[in-house]
Amino acid sequence: MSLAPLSLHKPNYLSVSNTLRSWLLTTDHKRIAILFLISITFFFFIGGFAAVLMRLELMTPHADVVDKEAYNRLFTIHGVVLIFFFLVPSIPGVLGNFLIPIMIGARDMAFPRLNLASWYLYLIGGIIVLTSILIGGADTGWTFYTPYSSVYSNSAVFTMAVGVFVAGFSSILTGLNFIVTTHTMRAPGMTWFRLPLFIWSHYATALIMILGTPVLAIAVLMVAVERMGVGIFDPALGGDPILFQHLFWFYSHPAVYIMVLPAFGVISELVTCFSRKRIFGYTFVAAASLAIAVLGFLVWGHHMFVSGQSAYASMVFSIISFTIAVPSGIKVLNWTATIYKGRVWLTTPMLYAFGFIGLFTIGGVTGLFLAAMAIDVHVHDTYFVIAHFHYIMVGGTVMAYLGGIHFWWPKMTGRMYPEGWAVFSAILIFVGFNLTFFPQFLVGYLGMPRRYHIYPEEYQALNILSTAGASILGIGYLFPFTYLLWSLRRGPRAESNPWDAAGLEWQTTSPPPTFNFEKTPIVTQEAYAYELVSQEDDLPGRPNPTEGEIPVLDAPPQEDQP
Amino acid sequence: MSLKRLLSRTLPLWAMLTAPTLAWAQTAPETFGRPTTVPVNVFDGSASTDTMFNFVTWLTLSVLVAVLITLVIFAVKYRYQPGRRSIFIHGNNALESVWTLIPTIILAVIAVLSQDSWSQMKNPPVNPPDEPIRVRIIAMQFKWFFQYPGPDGEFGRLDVTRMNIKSSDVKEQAGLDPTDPASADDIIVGQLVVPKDRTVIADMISIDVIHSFFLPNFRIKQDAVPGMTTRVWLRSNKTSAEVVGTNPNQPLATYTADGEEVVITDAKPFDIVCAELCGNGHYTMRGLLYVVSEQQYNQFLEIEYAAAAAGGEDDGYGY
Repeated sequence: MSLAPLSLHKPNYLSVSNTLRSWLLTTDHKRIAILFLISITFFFFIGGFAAVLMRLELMTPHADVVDKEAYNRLFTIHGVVLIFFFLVPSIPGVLGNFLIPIMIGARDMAFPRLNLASWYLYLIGGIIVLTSILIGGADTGWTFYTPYSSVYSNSAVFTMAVGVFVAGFSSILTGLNFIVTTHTMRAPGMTWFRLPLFIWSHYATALIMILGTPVLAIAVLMVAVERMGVGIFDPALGGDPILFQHLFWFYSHPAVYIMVLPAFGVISELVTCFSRKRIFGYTFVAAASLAIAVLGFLVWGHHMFVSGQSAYASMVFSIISFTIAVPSGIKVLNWTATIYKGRVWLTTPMLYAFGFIGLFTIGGVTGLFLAAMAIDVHVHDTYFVIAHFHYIMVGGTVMAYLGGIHFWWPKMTGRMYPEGWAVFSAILIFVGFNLTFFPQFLVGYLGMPRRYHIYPEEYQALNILSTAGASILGIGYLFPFTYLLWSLRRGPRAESNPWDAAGLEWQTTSPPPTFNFEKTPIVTQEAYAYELVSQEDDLPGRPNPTEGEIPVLDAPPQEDQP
Repeated sequence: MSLKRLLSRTLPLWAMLTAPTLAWAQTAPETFGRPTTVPVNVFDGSASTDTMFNFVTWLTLSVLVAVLITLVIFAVKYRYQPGRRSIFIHGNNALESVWTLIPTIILAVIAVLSQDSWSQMKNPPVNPPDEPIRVRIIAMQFKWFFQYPGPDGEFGRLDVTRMNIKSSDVKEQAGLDPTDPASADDIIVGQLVVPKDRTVIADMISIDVIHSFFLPNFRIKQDAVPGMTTRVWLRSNKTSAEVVGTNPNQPLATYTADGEEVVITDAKPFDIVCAELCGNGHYTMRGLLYVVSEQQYNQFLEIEYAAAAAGGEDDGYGY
């Protein structure tokens, strides 16, 4: 008779079947998350490769690596691929899909087959975009401004627009699933105010996905239709080019919150776990997510201060843009307060969380410059804007994504990652990121416009710093890719709860069984009840969690369903 | 792993990463020695923009530093130590209200201030001491043209259907309608020439795609949108020679009707930059803005108007 715990011999969601068919036709939300993980990693490296070529080109003021046509295509690929095929589906597609049902104690998503369909739509959209790259790529930038994109550009705009259109439906289905799942699939006792903040922020994200993405779909579809000769935005045919910008930014500004709200959710989980504390001001943090989702729909005009929209419209958009800084600020202050009198355990995920808070704050306060109309006029379409949104989207979202991947890696794969390498690459990424993007604030304020592959020589010093930073950042990203793959076979086996964390997802085995829990959990505690979690003194190093020690939930065997 | 151990262990890697950068810096000292300065602001209408920028910079920098220092202090002070436990705090509504209200007030102040600098930038002075100069900016792939209304003060009609970008005559390129009587005395030139200390009101059109008229020295940017007219105003309190210097090898010259070259000024121009992606030649779409003395401006216009009245083909850079 074996003395090993029984659970080791039960099949988990990974080991239950290993045929290709079992993966491609799976309706298990965890397997779909893994499919997303593989595919967004692929697209991350495509978009990243375009960035490498651009940074190399920008090392000198002259055109020496690529010419103008290639450069315009590179930044379009970089933007389209990394925004629509990496950032938007990153945290929701991977961590959201994997964790939402487990965190609320459900067996799966509300619509498992729609969930799989969302991955296929993503994949089809991605293949169409790859095709458009192979047949020559588009040169309009990811913003597809008309009438250049719809009438003048001689590039594969049509194909790329169709790819984005299709991928949009993936996003809508994901959002739909998140909302219905959160409403209908919560375990007994999992009230709304016991939900982890990860769920709240994904719920807010899902609202934006459902309400915003159709507008983007309409906008890019109209560009595609106009390329076939129907007049919509072309003034020669009675159209209005600025209408496109309104439609585009009506989605694409909230899309920034699609990218960063899930990151907020991840950070709330990381900060609480590694401070061993309850979140400071739970309701405020949850409400801030919803406030951001709502206000996010009312600020799109701040992308258009110089576009020719009414000066009075700009004034209103400016004021609303300032208000959205308030809920974002509330979050940063609440995380900081959470660390106060905590017991900070500085692991890799916590390093990423610190990195996120710092970089997101820089990205956020530089947003104030852009909300102030007159300042925006000067820095609009310069590298200042590039730096600002990379601080939010790379410094924010990618940092949180990597932090989350490390934090939940043991749960997803049943293996631990190598902590030394992970700490090292987290620091490398932080340093590389700042060296890449901070000089861009300066060069942008000096007046260097974006989307130029040549520039006056006086900007070269700052561009070299930026390229040097990008090389460090690029290497930094290769490390996690390598050691995480390595850990799949060689990493030490993970306990159910290697971090001694309070969330429901840590109550099941690592990796979880197909239907997540042996028995439907019954929740009797709020989220983040860390005062009840063991605070043994053996913390740094890996604690030995004791099964069933945490009274977050209580699963009486007799009362369970047959 | 302690930070010290980590850094010492990874020292070779850091060296490996920084060495190429340092080597590059050594090979290109002239690049690193070149002064990189903020463009001098010559426009009174955007003076408050710079003030705002500095104000917001100091404000946000202090907030940022405060947050970062707090984070570092907390990370060190409350680091894991054997025997010390975290203290359970639910939150504090009074504190939440304070840090919601204070940022709201600060943001409201910035929002109000920015309304003011916006209106200064957008609205020309209501009662200028002198009659504003009116120019029309014509943007097309990938160049800027500037139309002056001539002695009659009326802009000739531009007609897209008459546009012929292959023509060597700039009026035909821009599609100036010769049947419009107001067109007869108009000139269209390839560089914007305006006098110092005069209000200039420029209406802007685009003939093809969206372009953006960006003057780093004026902190002005405005899209030129096909199908509509947008407007900027500007007034320079310095000539371009005073700010960017002179270059006798490349003076601003114009030609009389007899083909005689007249040098107006040897000043270097301010840059006009296209800031909205407009196609493959986007990066070449640089325009020139000469701010000259009142006499030089009048001389320039007189010669151009005389040449236009004499007729002939104009390539936009003198007859």
